[in-house]
Amino acid sequence: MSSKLNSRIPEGPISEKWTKHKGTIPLVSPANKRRIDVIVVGTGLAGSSAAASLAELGYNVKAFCFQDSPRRAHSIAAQGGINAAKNYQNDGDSVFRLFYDTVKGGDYRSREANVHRLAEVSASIIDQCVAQGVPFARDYGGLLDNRSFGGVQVSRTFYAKGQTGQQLLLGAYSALERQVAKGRVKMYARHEMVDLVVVDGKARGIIARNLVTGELERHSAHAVILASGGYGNVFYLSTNAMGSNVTAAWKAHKKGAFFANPCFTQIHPTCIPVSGESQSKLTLMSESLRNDGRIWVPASLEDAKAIREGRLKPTDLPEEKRDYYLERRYPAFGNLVPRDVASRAAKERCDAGYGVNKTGEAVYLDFSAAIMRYGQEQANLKGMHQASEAEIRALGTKVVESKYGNLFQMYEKITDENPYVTPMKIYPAVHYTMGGLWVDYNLMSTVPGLFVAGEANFSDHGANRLGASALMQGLADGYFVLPYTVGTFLADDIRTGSISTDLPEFAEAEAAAKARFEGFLKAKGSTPVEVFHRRLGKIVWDKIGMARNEAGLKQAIEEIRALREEFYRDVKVLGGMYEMNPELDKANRVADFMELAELMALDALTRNESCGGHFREEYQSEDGEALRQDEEFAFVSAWEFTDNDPGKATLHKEDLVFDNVKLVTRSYK
Amino acid sequence: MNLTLKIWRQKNAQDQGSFATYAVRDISPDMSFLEMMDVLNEQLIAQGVEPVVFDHDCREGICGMCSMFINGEAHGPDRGVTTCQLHMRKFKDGDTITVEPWRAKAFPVVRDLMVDRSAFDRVIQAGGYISVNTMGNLPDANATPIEKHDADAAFDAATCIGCR
Amino acid sequence: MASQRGLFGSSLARKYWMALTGLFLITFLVVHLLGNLAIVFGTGEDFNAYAAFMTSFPPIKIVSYLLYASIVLHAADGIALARQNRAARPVAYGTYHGAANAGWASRNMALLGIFTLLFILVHMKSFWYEMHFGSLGLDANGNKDLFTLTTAAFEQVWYTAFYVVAMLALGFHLWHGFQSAFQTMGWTHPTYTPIVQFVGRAFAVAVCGAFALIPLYVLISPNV
Repeated sequence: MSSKLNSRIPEGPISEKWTKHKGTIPLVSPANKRRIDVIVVGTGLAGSSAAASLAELGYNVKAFCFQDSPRRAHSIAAQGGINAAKNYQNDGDSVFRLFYDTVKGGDYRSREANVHRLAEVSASIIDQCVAQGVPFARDYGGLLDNRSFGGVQVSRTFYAKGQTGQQLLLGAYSALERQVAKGRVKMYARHEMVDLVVVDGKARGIIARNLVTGELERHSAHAVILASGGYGNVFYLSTNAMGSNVTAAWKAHKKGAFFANPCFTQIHPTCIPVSGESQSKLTLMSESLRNDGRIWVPASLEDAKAIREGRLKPTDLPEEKRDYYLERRYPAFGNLVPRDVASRAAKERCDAGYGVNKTGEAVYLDFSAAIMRYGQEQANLKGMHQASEAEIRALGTKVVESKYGNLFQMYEKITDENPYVTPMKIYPAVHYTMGGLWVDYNLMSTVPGLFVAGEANFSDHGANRLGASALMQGLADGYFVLPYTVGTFLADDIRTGSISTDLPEFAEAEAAAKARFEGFLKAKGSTPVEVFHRRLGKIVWDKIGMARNEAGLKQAIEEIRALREEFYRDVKVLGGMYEMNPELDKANRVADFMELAELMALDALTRNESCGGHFREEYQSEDGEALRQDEEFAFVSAWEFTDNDPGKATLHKEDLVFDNVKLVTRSYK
Repeated sequence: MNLTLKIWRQKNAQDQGSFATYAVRDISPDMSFLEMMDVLNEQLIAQGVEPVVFDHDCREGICGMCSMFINGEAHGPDRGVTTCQLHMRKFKDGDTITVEPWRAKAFPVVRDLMVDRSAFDRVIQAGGYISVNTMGNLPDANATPIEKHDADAAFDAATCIGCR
Repeated sequence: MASQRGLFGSSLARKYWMALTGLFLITFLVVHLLGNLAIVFGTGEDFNAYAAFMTSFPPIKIVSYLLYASIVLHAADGIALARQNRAARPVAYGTYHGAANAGWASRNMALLGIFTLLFILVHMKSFWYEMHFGSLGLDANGNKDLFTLTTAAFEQVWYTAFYVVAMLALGFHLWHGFQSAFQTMGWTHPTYTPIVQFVGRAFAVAVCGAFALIPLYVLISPNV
């Protein structure tokens, strides 16, 4: 392990580490907490829960979000649910099983101790949320309902229709607003962090831009918590919100925080495909659809071409002319293979020319077999032994509607096609980023005093995240980990007194930020920011997307560097700095994405193996499956920003030690 | 399709503001309303006119940030959808579309179509929360059964709050 | 907010008062209509006896003061809420397609209400004032002869026209108001709300229709 990385994993058996650690963390007395300021950047599940919990403890909290209200954070869009090892269903779930599933699902690239702690606190999250009034789905007896999710064999997912994230966020948001009302949290909405301020090697504040007035503001604190989300928008098209960005994390990286596993990005297999060049955003369709939908493409290239050109309808293609490629390749798991496998298989078929919509990048998700199957069941139940095909279809449609009605409706709104009649078209899209700022067991980055929570850190999901685990991690970090672990750093700060924003470090950071914004305005080029973002996204998607290879990655680095150079020369941003100017905000974000993209390519190039969401074409078995290289690559890549160039970052390795889980190859055949 | 847009332009809260008329061409019926606005903005930038400012974020119908008053209706002519889920197929070639910000004393215009909705946060601050601190030893979540009907109704209430 | 402005000041409290007084006034309409039907189905003496009873029986007198208070509170709160509503949107929309979200009656409650109030004033001057303070003759039973006064009024075309138009306004007011009172009080339910809505609309048509038919009957029928 690199000397610069100290993961601070407590000693002892894995199930006792957290309890023992909590018992030994130095405490800050209530009187002293009042003298300590903490900045929280981002107000999603991790940020809101952290800000509220720290304020309840007595710290002075300043919370920042770029949206107009903390409740808009993109956690709100999470559909499926939140995992917890409650074992309410009596199906054999336990803390260890949740821990084990998560480490395995992450393809053995996460840190055991952190994942175990996550599983330990998972049950408390549900208790906390219910006490706060968050509604979860219930059965008719009034008790909490659970459902099963991808890649596990128990039902441990708590959910609220297809809007679990929204319900949880409103719970955390109301806890936050309660503290705002009390004056314990000062809320800065429509503010974006544009730099981290480091004083004497410690994170002591941020420079934030007021997005309404354009003013740069200095904010000081004894510690800074980043909960600023993931960087999926580096791909331009993703299921992230339009405003989601990497700027806060990237600025911290440039000030000394190591960036871990940037190439670990999750591509979700069931999204509505791109319809045209002007598309701005991709929409996810819940993974649950794969329980009943069968995925296929035409078996022959001629038929695929005919469908693309509108000369042939999918419903006209007989069974024998269809290729149910997942069922063919993975007979054991069929359509229910994990996300990374399903996504790659779809790409493989489309690259080979079998894609089905105008752009050639879509596959069918067909419910007709399920409709007929359910219809037959219903007909039998009703004693309709001579039911016609139309009657069976009508009965089956009702069953499918009751299970997935809202998703089918959403699909129809967006595509104007009726998925009960014609198969849905789907294609993989960027959804989540497992990589993020490196943190130790206390969630502190390599900059003392800078903590990182939620999707913004790297720690718990390894190379592939399981469904319903992101909400769990965000709330675990905010409610139950940070309130304890910030003490490891802040206990030494009770005599520091308030941090002055007149320190030269603040002035320097502000001046640098100002110069940067003025630079975008002064370029007076000819190309809008959006065009650069779109071009960047195409490079990243094509070459650092679902499948990567050495030549492509090297080419990507060249192209990204060239694009970056062109950007600073030719970007066109109208308006001024001291006004509401979303184009200028975007320029600042895209500039950081362009640096991150290069680091992603570098990371992918360095990791000579395939694992989870990272698939290197050189490292696959004869039948195209991922080949992990545990001997050489069972480590976290933590990149240090050096030589003032993202492409010259220095790699530090945190070796991953697996004492409790045995490393095996994942197979779904 | 080709459209004429009458859009409210207002530099800041103090500015008087007025409607400006723009033409957009070759709009695909599959675009969302906001993507059509993106096309307009790229066109405006090319002409050296400052793009139209509007609030938007998730673009999948859940965050509630996109606002807009379209042809005299909140979120335009479609029902049960936010502006980001309103698609251009709901309009006809040659239509003139009027787009305005919310008009209310409680929501001052920030710029163009963007308004300040922080009043909603203050409503929540006035008591829209349950007074429970973060605790690791709360009663088990199943300690108090809640009727399914009530739980389901609560989802819809929260959805309504979320969209404001 | 509500606690600071007490039971009357906040917009929410005002809405509650609107709903409660509105529902009370609706029950009054039923009683009033039953009495009026005596004009059509009974004799002039029956109607006069009814009027005498209504102005002398002590419990009814008490209820009548509650009624006057309700009308005043309903009107005052309605006007205050309408003003507050207007003040909340100082800059009007350039294009406003109100019909997309709410029915005509719902959007014009204040206008309909004010017209109804105007009608009540005229109506009270015509009959209530005369009954209490005017110099009405006596009928065969020694009751004040309100019947003759009423039929004389209804035989004037302009008065009956005004009356019918006012009932139309009241009908639209109730078309929305009946169901809206339940909504305001939070008495909503997926199964029962449509029923309340139907009953409200049926009530509006039936009661206001019956009220309007009586003067028309008097005007047209040569026997009265």
